[in-house]
Amino acid sequence: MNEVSVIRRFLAQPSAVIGAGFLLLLSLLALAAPWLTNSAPWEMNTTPLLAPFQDPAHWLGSDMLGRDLGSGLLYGARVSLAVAAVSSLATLLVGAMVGAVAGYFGGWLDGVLMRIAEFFQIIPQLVLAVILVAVLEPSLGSIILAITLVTWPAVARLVRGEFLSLRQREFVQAAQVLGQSPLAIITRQILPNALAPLLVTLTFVAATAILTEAALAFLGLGDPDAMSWGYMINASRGLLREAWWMSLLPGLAILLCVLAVNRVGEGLRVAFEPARRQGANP
Amino acid sequence: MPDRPSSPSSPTRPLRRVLMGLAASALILAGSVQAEPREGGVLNLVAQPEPPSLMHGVVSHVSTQYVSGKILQGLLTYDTALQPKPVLAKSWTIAPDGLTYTFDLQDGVRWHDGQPFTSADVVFSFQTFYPEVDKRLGGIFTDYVTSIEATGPLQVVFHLKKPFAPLLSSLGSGLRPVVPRHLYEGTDFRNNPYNLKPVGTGPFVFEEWKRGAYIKLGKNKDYWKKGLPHLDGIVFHVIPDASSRAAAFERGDIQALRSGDADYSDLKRLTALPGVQSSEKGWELYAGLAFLQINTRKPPLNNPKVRQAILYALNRQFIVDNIFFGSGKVAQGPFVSTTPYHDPNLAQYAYDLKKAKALIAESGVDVGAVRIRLLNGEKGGAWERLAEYTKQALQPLGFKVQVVTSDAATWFQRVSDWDFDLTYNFIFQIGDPYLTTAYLYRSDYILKTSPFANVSGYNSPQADALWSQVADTPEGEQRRQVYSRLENQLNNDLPIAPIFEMRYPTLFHSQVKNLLQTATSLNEDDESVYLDGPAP
Amino acid sequence: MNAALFLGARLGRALLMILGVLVLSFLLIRLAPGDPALLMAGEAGVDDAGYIDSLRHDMGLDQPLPRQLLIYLGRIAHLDLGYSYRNQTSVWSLIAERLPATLALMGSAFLLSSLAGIALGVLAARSRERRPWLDGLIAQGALLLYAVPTFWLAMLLILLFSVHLDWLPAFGLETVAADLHGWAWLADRLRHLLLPCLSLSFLFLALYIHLTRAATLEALGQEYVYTARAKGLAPRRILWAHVLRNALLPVVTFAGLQLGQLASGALLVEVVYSWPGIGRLMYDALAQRDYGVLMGGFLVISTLVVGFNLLTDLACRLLDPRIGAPGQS
Repeated sequence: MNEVSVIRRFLAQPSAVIGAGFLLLLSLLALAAPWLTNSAPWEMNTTPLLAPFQDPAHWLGSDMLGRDLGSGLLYGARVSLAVAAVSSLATLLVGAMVGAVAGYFGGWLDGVLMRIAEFFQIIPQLVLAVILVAVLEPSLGSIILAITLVTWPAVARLVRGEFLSLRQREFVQAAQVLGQSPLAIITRQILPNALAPLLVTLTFVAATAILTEAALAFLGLGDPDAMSWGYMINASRGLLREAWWMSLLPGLAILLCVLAVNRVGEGLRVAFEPARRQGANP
Repeated sequence: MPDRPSSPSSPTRPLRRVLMGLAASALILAGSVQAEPREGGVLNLVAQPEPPSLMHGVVSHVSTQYVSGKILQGLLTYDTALQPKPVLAKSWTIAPDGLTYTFDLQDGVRWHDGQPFTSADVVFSFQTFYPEVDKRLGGIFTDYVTSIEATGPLQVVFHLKKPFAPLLSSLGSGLRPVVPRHLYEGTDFRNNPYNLKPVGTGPFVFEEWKRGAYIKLGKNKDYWKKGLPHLDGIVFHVIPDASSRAAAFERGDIQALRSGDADYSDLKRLTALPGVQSSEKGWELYAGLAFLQINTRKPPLNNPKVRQAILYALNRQFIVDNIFFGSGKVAQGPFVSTTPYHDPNLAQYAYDLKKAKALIAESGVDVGAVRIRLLNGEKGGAWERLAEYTKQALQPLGFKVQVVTSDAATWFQRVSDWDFDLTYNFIFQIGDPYLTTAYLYRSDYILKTSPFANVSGYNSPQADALWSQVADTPEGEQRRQVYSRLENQLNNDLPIAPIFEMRYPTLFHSQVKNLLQTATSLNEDDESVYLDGPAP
Repeated sequence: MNAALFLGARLGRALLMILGVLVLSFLLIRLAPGDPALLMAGEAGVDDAGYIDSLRHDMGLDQPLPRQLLIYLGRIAHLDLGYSYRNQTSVWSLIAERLPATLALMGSAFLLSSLAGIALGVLAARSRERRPWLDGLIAQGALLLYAVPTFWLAMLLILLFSVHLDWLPAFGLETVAADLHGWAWLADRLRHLLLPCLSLSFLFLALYIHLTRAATLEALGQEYVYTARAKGLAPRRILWAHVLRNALLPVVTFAGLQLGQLASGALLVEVVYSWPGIGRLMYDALAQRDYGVLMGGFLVISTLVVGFNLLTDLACRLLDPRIGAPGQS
């Protein structure tokens, strides 16, 4: 697999590039939030229900308590992106571990683990997340835990699939003959080949994480100290008509973010495809 | 009709005149018949939040009173000029020395289950039921009432130890309806199943409560006032979402909105709709005061300087303007400013963040040491926003406030059990502060029965003494001075931080007639309400 | 693998899943910090010492954990999902009351999204050659729909159709106390169902479009299609007879897996529209800290989803008898 050609193929897709660019820009803005806005998102420091483009100090308007929407969006981006990133990482770890064990050892262990994975895929995920967060008290930690709990099966299945197919390949058998430990085989031989679909799947995990966090915050189960886009949409419900910007802007933010992540995922998939066909296609 | 020329002495002339006279009177009659209330139709209202119970004798939550007030009735009520009007008591006489009240009850009244209403029900209600369930009334009765007896099947006499002018107002329909003895005697009053499916004497009968959806009341076909009610029924819709409520009102699915039913932000827009009227009538008896109850048992809230700092840190004008959208005015003190009992020279707590911080520093208390729970009993809407605002407003002082939102019933229970640090609440100060406001401050009302008792735990012998003094002093300059001293002390100790005096616009579609007839407005029984024109 | 064995195996798997849901519910309530009995009593029942004691006894909290699990399973078998002190009624009766509303919502959204999704997906695939713009439009539209948060979309639909255009009602199941009968009753119910159903179906519409389009494209490219074309069969018959049947297979498989998401979306839609279903019940239970109702709702919804998943599995088998044959996963 030629990394340069992958990158080139990725860059050849305009939607993927735009998506990646958007995410990069958003991350930078989110990181720079304290310097970009002069108001904390929770601070009620201006006229309530200010429409956007009226006041240069509050370019995107304010909500019904006089909180600056622009800073709300930026800090909300922090939460969404952070939750997406950490959940993806956690899902990767858990899913890869389970999938590796199932795929490598096979047999009854594989059967049991895959049944469990299937279980978590079939039951309603948001409902489970709601209950988990409610029972554990809402916080960024419990939200990330809930998201990880419902998204790990996809990764596990993928990794397991890779293992099953690669296990038979010569270079793995060669490594076994040479006496490489299972862990080394897993990390040095199999995982790098699984990288491509794994990355793609992780982008979908990230998209799910953003939507789930927004939904939880909308239902009032978000972290009470974290300004979240979902929370902002919930707050706007009573003023849908008077202050359309209160619901439109955070909703657009979620939409664009998820769209961007999906486009990046799609771009990665296409970029990796020829390599996949050559390499380890089951 | 063209007039046929005829000679003055024609015999047909008088006949024609009579005919025309008849036609004219027929037209007039027809016109007046159209002005008569139309029968039929269902009135659609909102129950927001969903009430904890449907028996407003036991649970004095506004939502409960709204529904239950149409099912259960009391001895009397008050019209908009604050004059008492008979309900179940058709007349009453007060002895000149003020020690004997004789009530003659309406004849031919039946409870909704068919049992006859008699004086035994009244005696049971005020002698046994209310003293057990409502400690405020229990206290009054112990202090002032010697006995209550039924001197006939339709007559009840109250014997008093000493004159008590506010007795009649404490017997109002909206507050203390008569309860059916045959269903409550010997039972656990608070957990009686009829609290959820009430049986009363009112114009409307409880039919169904589908939780989360609606409460249906039907016409009482055997109502003791013939010809009433006009409506076939009333349905209280449970719509937790404020924008849905506003939309429903706009579409005409809901025909009247009580103050607080629509989000305050929607009021202006809804009032401007064609065919919608707004009225502030009906709240004459209830001067509403919204306040922040502070649990003075728990540090750092046990320090009066800290409490004062909290009030200084709240921008009450901002609250009125932006959270309640102008539906009120900033409170001037613990007593409502429209009553003569409020001291106009009382020290004011103008919004001053610096002063608040200084007070905290002066007190030497670490206010951030423990998380402070601010309870809120209504999801969505102005009260939740007020709680959020408070959290942010107290942050610069170092407080760590956690807003805990629940449903109305949970809130009611928690506050009654003193399981809170801060909570917003409001009461109706009915005339004399002694009748309702006193229970928030008197140390003998430190009880766990309702959020409208002294849940703050405020215990001041000086204040208690002043309350007693006020009760025993006759009206006049001296009484006002005592009240002034009392108000000043409460204003300094501040176990309760007064926030704003509430205004209550009711919105209704113009086809709804006779809606606000008494001073208890929407808690009244709606017996003469009718719908003019097709209900949507 | 013959049909009976297949059915047996799938049924067994479904039952195992339901058992998993039960075990999960059982564990969750004990995972929470605090006394499980106090949690199940909820805010309302906490003061009632007698009630707490009876709860402790019913849940068998003094027994070892495996015993407790058996007690729990036994109670579930009798449809005893617990008691809601706040509502003074059994959890099961609360849920049973709300079940039809949720089923109506999920069922109609499923039908709408699958039918419309399949139709649009096939249309997109067919248009690829001659009208690529249509294909592009549908595909891009689907992508957009997939990224939209369901609850936000629901709010926007209310704003447009209910508030501005005043075409449709914004809340509830029906116009209460309107006393309608026959067709009028049905029409009223359908009017109230329309917006919630639409809101819920948009997400799945996107997925079905995407899936059907991909599956149709792939099926169109298959050898037997060329063969049929070579034989001179009319294009339309090729499409309907061969392609569709094979394209439907992944869609149906997928549909079964997505039912969980449909249920999750239903929760959000019910909250926005005050639709009196199980989702709304659970949302209210959150505010009331009524864990008995929360667990009961989770159980019932999950069981429903597993059950429907079983049905779609069987539908797959009908569509393609090769499913379940040895060698297939």
